Amino acid sequence: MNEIVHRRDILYLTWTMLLVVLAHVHWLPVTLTAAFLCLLVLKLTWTQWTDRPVPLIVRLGTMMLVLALLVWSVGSPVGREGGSALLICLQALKLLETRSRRDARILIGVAFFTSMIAFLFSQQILATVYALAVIAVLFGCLFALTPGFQSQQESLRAALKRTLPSAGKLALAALPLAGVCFLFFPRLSSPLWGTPWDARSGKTGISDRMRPGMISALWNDDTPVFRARFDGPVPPAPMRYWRGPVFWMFDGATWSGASRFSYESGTELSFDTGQTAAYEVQMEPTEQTWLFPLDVAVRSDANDLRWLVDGQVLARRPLIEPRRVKFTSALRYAFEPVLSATHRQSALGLPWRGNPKARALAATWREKHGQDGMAIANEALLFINASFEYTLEPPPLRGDQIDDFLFNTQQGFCEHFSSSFVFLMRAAGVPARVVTGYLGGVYNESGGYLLVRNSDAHAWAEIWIQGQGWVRIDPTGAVAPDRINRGSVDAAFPESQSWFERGWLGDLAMQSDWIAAKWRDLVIEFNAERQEQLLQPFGLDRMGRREMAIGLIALGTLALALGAWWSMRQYRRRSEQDRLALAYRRFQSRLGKRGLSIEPSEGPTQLLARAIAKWPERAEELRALINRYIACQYGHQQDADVRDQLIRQLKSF
Amino acid sequence: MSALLRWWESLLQAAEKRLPALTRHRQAEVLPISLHSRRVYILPTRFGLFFGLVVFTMVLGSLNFNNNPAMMFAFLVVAISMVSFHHTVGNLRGLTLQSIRAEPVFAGAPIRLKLSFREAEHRPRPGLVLELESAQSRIALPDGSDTEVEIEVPTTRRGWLRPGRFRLWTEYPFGIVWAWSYLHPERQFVVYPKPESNPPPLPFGNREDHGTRMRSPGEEWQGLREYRSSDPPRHIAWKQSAHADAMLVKEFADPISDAICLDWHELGALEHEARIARLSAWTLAAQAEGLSFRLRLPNQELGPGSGDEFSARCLTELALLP
Repeated sequence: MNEIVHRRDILYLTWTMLLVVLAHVHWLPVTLTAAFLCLLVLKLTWTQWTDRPVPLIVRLGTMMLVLALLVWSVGSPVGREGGSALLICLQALKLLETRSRRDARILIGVAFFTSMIAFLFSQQILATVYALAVIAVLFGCLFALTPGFQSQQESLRAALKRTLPSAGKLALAALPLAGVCFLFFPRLSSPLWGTPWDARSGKTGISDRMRPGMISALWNDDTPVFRARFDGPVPPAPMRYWRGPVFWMFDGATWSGASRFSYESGTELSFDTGQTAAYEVQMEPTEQTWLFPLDVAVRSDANDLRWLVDGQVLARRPLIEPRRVKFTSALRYAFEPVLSATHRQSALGLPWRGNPKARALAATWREKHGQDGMAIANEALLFINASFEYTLEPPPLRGDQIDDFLFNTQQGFCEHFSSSFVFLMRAAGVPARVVTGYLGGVYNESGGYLLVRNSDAHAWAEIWIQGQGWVRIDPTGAVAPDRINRGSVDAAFPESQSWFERGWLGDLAMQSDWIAAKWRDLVIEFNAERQEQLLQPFGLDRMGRREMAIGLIALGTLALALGAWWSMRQYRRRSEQDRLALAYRRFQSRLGKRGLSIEPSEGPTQLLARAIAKWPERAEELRALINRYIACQYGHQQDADVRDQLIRQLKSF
Repeated sequence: MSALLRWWESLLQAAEKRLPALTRHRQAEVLPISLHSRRVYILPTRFGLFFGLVVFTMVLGSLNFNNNPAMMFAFLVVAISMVSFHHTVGNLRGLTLQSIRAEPVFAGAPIRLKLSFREAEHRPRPGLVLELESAQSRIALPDGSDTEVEIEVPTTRRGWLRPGRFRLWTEYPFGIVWAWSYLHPERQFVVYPKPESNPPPLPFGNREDHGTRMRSPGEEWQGLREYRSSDPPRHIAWKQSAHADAMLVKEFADPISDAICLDWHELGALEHEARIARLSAWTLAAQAEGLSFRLRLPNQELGPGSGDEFSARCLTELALLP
C-alpha cells in the first residue's frame, strides 16, 4: 500500500507547505524564509524533471546548509523561535525527501503541528482564521492521498476541486464537537511545565533605558500596548499620563533606573480621595514587566505586583500573556512630601564631567532664585519655549549631548526635552528624575475603552518641591502643547498622519481594533475562571471539574452524533423516483385528512375520479395534477424540471 | 523464544475455534451478503497512531500554555478525525454482494472472479480494496449503481475452487483509521484440468464408419424422429415440430450416432492425472474440430455429443473426478 505518490500530488503538497509556512513569515528571519522557498522550488523543479529520488548527497548537503543558516540567524535551536524555526526547516527537508505515501502522510502530520505553533507568536483573529483555513487544506491533502482514490490523469486543479469541498464539509460538521470541547474541556489552572522560552526584549517599545532617539523611534508604531476601561468618566487628554519606567541615573548619554530602590517599599503618598479614577487595564503581552497605571496608582486588585518607591508598578514575571489589572489612581496627590537622604542624593546625581554650558546656565538660575524649585523650573520652561522645536526626526547629538541639544541643535523629541530639563534641574540643585511611559490614548466609542499604542510613548520629568513632594513637569508642553492637549503625536503633527489613518479609514482602523479587543476578551482570555462561570446565565452555579467532565462527554457525544449525521445526510438522498412517489403518497394522505377515504390499492385515476366527485370546484386543477403525475411516474416524462415542479405542486396543494 | 511463539500460535488457534466473533465468518454464507454496521470492524492505522500522537501533543501543549486559539485548532482537528470515523465505516456499510461469476479456466491459469456489488444508498464509494489471500484489487464504486468488480486468483488444482474469505477494506477518507469486513460467499467454481501439452492425435480408430462430418444446413434429410437429449440443436426440425406439438429431429442418411470414443479405460498405461490431462486435451481437440464424440469415464459415460456445452460438461466431469 505504500506506493510512490503521483507527481501532481507532490505539487499539491508543496503548495500546502508554502501555505503552512506563510503563517510564520512575520517572525521568521528573512534568510530562513528564503532558504525554505529555495528548498520548495528545488523540490518542484526536481519533481517536474525526473521521477528519481533526490540523491542523498543533495539532501545531506542542504540539511547541513539549512541547519547552519538556522544557527546563524536565530541563535540556538531551542526556545520558541529556535524550536519553531527548527521544525520548519526539518519540514522543508522532509518535503525534499518525500516520495511515497507514507512519507507524504508523515509530512502532513508534522504540518499540523507547525500550523499550531504559529499561535505561539500571535493569537489574533486573523491568525486563527488563517489556521482554520489551513486545516481544510491539510485534510484535503490527506483525502487525496487515500489509496485507490484518484485517477492518474487528473490535473491538480481538478483534484483540488474534488477534495477541498468534501474536506470543508467535514470541517463544518465537526464544528459543534470542537466548540463543545473548547468550552467544556477542563482547563489547567497552572501549567504542567514552564514557559518554553525566555522573554527576551525582542519586542519594540518602552525600554529600561532612555537614550536620545529611542522614544522618537516609536512614533510610527501603532501596536497596541494596553486598553483601559474607566469606571467613571474618562479623564481628559492632558491628564492621561501613564507611568512606566522611572530613570534616576545619567551617565552623560543614557538614563537608567536605580536598582538600589527596587527593594524599598512604601513611600508616603497622600491623596485627595475625592479625585480618584478607578479603571481596568488590559495589557497586551509586552514581554516586559511594567504595568502602566495612570499617574499615580494607589491600589490595585492584583496581589502579585511590586510597587516601587518611585511609583512604578511591576509584575513579577514578564507579561507573555494578556493580563487584566484593576487600578485606582489618585489625580491630586502629594507624593513623598519628605524626601529621604538617599533619594535626594540620587535625584541630584550628575556625571562629574561634561556639559559645562548647561551647568553654567543652571547655576545662574540658582543664584537668581535660590531654593525655589518652581521658579527655577519656570525659567527652564521659558528657556525651552523661546527657541526650541519639537520634531519627529531630531538630528543626532555629538559630544556633550545636553549642551549640543540646548545650545546647538535645539530640535528634539520628548526624550531630549525631558532629559535636558532634568539635567538642568539637577545642576540647579532641584531633585529631579525622568519618568517615561505613555501619554494620551485614543477613545474607542464602540468598545468604551481607551486604546494606548506604542506611538503614544512619552518621556517627562518630576521635580521635588518642598511641601508638595514630587510634581510632574512636562517640558514638551512648553514647545508642543498640542502633544499634551490633544493627546497624541498625530495631533501635534497633523501632517504626519499617513493617509490611511484619516477619515473613514481611521474609523475602520478603530473598528478593527474593537474587533481585536472583543476577540481578546471572548477567546484569548477564556481561562479556567471564565469557564466555571460559563453556565451561570442558565442558573447553574460555578461548575466543578466533575460537572465539566460530564458536560463534555454528554454534549460531546451529542455534538459528534449531530455532526456525523449531518455530514452523512447526503448519503440517504432518495432517488428521483422515490421522491416523486413519496410526494404523491403525502398528497394522498392529505386528501384523506380532508375527508376523502383512502383506498390503498387504487390507482391515481380512480383517486382522481373520487376527488373530483368530492370537490367539484377544483376539478380542473386536480385533473391536471394527476395527469402530470401519471405522465411522470408511468409515462415518458423524464424531464427533471417538470418532475421537481410537480413535486412542489403536490406538496403545496 | 520459539516455545513462546508456539504457545502464542496455539492460543490463537484455540481462540479462533471458540470465539464466535472471529469464527462467524469462517462459515460460508449464502448470497446475497449485505454489510451492516456490526459486520464492519474499525481500527486505527499505523499512520493513525502517529497522527493521534501528534494531535495529543497539540492538545496537551495548547492546554499547558492556555493558548485558546491553539486549543480551538487542536480540538477542531480532533473533531474532524472523529467525524471521519463515521465516514470510514459508512464507506463499507450498505454494500451488498449480489453474485459472483467466473469464466471457467484451466488449472494453472488465474481465474477471474467477477463480484457484483449492489449499492442501495446511491452514493459513490471511493477507495475500497478487495483482498483474497494474496490477490488484491482496487475498486471504487462510482455514483450509486451496481458495479462488477474483478479479482484474479491463481489456481493450481482442478476441481472445485472455493474462493474462501474475502476482505473488503478501506482507509477513506484520511487514512487515519481503516474499516474492514469479511465476505465468505458460498459459491464454488469449477477449474478444468490442465490439458496435456502435446497430446497424441485423436483416437479415430474407434469410429465405426468413416467420414463423419458436420451436416451443412440445407442438406437432404430422410425422415423425422423424436428429439433425444443428445441431438445437436441444429438438427431440430422447427417447422414440423410446431405443427406436431413435439420436438422433432431431422434424420440423415448417415447415422451420426457413431462418434469417437474417448475412453478412460483404454489409457491404462498412464497415471490417473495424466489420463485426465490427455482426455481433456482430446476433448478440446474434438471440440475445436467440431467432431462429435463420446467420453467414457470410470463412473459414467457422456455422449455422444458435440459442441461447446457438451465439451464444457465433459471437462467439468473430468475436473470433478476423484
